[in-house]
Amino acid sequence: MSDAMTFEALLDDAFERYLADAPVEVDPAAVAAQVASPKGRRTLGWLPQLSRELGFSKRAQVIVLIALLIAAALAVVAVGRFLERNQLSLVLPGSPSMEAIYVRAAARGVDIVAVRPEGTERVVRHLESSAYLQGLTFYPGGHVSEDGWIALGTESSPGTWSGGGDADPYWALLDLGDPTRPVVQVHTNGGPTSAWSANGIFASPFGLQCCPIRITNPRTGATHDLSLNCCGGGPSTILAADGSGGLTHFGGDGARARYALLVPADPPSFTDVPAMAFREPRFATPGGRSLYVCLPPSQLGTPDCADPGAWVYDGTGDPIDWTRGDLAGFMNAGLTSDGQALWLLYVRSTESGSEALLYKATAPGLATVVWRQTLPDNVNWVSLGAFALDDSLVTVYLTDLSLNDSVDHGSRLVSLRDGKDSSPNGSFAGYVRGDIVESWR
Amino acid sequence: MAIPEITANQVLVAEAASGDHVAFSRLVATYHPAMARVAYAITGDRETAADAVQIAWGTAWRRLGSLRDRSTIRSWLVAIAANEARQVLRRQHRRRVVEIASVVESDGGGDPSDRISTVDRARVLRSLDPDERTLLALRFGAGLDSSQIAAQLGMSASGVRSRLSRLIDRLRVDLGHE
Repeated sequence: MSDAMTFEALLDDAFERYLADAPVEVDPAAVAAQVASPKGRRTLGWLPQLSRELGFSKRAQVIVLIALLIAAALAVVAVGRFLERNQLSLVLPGSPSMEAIYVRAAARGVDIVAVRPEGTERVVRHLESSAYLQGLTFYPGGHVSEDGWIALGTESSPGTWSGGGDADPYWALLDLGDPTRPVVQVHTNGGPTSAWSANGIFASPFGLQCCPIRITNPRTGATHDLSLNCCGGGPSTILAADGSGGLTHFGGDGARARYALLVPADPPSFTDVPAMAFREPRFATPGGRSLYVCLPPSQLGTPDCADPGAWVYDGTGDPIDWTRGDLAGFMNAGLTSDGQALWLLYVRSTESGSEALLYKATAPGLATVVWRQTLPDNVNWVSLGAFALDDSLVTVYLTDLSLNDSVDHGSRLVSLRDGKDSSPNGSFAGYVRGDIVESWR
Repeated sequence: MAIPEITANQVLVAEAASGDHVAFSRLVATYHPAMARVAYAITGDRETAADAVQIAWGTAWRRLGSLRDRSTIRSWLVAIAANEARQVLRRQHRRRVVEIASVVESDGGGDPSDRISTVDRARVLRSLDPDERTLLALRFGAGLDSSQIAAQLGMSASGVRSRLSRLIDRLRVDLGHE
């Protein structure tokens, strides 16, 4: 024992002498000024995050992968079932199922359609443009919040919303639960890249430079502008906006973007909100886990992706390998809402054509098929859309990329619980709990 | 129920968390040396360590409001510095192998048999991975105990003690102090 203490004392002494060269000199005021400046915050905020995504030791990867594979081999069934139960436990017994909301063009306005997991649907609202707008019409597309507000695009004539023809476009926010409430207008840059947070706060880009984001609480009318430093890429999707930040992907070619967690430079005025809600191919969870997929250039990978694979970063930024190498036909991936498992979407060739396969990977190297769909001849590209917060539903988009310009072939609404799907018409807008939808009737 | 005592330091942390630059600069003055020592212990390079600590201060500024127990500010900041240093080291490992600085210097005085030479120290540190260096840095560089390390690294205290014990045993063998 005394020998051990002696050696520890020696180590202590060795470290003390070694650390005599540590760069302890500092100008405290300069450090404070730098980190507190908008420039400093941006630089120190998202660059390290991106760097982390692109740089970590090979040795650590191998060690972690081996350890995880051994653990998975020892507890394949038990761990898989545990994770399955854990993931599904997010949905409380007896809780109402989620329903998908679609927007369809209709006479003098739009119809709001709710689609249940088994595919049955009904029109829950008909919104006439003239009842809410002056000189404008609703564009048949938008985003719906968890609690039933919807953001609809507006246009002065058909095509100006999607084509950018209006000089000062805005979203119209409506309460589907109370259609008598006046519409709330939110100026935007006309793009579809906006989203609701879990507590019903709406975020939308409104400028053309460096994507400033306007956060709006439609119930109070309060707004707050955030400056997200994503110059050069622009956010193609804002996944969350709850006052603590926006989660977005940018760069790449749109289909294969680079991801980053962006922290706003200006703390917003309302921060007392629940955990962030993540939609679209979910690549981060409130616990801090994040997903990074690196595809080779032959699959539209980013140029700096030299080591194809999919891995998850834990809350401290340490990587955990999930799959490596076997990414032929890989299309998309997303985390489950608890961050404990992955959804992996592939297109594989069959004797008669091709099929889409959606896997749930509950541990590295351990995946089961949850949805399989033979694809029409003219569809060669599929991508994951939004997941319901309880992981009960996902939207999968079908596209033909064999032409110079992509051709949209609609979407499938997939029940992740039984693998059944449906093909609702219209523009997908989000998910709302069934009991809330019922209250609109 | 006893009302927890609020120290001047906790007030300082609260002021900094609310965006007070002066309070934040006082935190920098107080805790920068400990963070720099830990970052240097992990990276072995002054410039890299300085970069890591600078990034760490940016992280601290953004996350200060989320620090629940303000009495743990020192171990919290040191852990951030350690994490950033580890990340910097990993990034550099991806591009090239980073050598821990092997300073050719005299240890000066004392009984050589009782001390760990600079050459041995550098050689052994080179053999450790960033996680192992982090553990040693937090224990010997920052003087954190197992519970404090565990709280910052998300491990159990017994897990930290176990890993440190194995690490120290290995160092004892590597340094010929069996």
